[in-house]
Amino acid sequence: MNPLRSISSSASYSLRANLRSHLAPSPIAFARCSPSASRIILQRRGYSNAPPPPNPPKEPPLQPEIDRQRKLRDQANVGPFTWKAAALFIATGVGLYLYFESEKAAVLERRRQELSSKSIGKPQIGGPFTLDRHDGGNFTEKDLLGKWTLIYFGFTHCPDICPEELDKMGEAIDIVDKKTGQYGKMDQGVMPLFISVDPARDTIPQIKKYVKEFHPRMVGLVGDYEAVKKTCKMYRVYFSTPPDAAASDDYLVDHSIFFYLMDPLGQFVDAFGKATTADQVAEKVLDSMKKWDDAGGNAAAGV
Amino acid sequence: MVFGFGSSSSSSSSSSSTTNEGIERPAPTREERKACWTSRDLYFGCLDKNNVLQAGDEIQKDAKGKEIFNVCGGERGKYEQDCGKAWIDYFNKRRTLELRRQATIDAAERSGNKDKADAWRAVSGGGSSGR
Repeated sequence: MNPLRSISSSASYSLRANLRSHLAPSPIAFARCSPSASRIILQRRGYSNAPPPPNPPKEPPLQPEIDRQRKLRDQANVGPFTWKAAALFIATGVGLYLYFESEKAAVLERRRQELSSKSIGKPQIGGPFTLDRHDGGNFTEKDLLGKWTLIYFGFTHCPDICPEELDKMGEAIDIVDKKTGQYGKMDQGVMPLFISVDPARDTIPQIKKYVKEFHPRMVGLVGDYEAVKKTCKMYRVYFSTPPDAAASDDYLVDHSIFFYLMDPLGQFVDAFGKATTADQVAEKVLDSMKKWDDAGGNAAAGV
Repeated sequence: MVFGFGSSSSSSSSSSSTTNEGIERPAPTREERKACWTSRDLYFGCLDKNNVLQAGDEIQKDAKGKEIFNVCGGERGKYEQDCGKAWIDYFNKRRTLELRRQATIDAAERSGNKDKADAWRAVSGGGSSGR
């Protein structure tokens, strides 16, 4: 018999004996010691000078009796441990682990597909509408196609926030125009759009006068109360004009004050609030334009 | 029909009817807006100087019955001349709200509640500067 093996076997035996007397039984701790190894140790002990284990059993008279006692003691110490149970336990653990891993992968994949189909979870802003242009004719959502648009909802009798925001919008467009070489051109560049939420007082002549103050390209839109209401709903804009307001009344309109950036497909890109500066708006517009062009631009989008 | 634009004078322009055809109640032009904001800032500045919180309080008696004789009378007159009534109501209300907000921030800061002060500072005050 290999002496090295016998030493390591008896070492593991005494370790096992110690563990048995001090620790609760654990199938894993004993899995390393095979029954045949134990038998070897016991057989060997009678002939070797190795120190006796902490709790030496009485000198066994017969080999079968030793085996029987060992088995009984093992069962008493380890509890209902069997190799079948250990294998079942490990198989169940591995099975559960693999199941959860595959479920996790499936969930991640589903989420990824949802995101890509919903264009990164963007809010549904925009949709079909028909309003009147300040310079004659209709304006529908189709007129947004092929160009970038900044849209602000407001009213011409607005005390301060609308003119400030519209000035900011005009300023941002000038910055973008200068960067893209479209400054001063009437038929190119980002289109500034002003949509009135005050149909009672904001007549076409009034809006015509108003939009000229902010940008030469600015297009002003208005319609009857229902058309304005429908458009605002499409764009998730709140406004408080009473339906029966008269043109001669002196009132203010409470309304949402952010403006939108829409891409050449007329799809929502971003919203800007009061805290955003003209430079920040311009930067965002230029950045969106670059991404758009990198992805193939209007040609790829079919507009 | 021609609509003039961009050249309306800053002086009282309700009479410049050529630009306002087809408009029952013309909205103020850029110049008119600016004039209104300037008058408003002068009036509010005067109220600040005289420790008047609520616009309009300066023309009443104070709590002790002592008469405060129309401080800021001139500024108020100009303000009412340059701004429409709905705008005046709005600006006055916003000034009160802004003062209240500032008072809350100051109180929070005095009591060492920096988080509360910052939270109130983050609330849009409406930017009373008006440009």
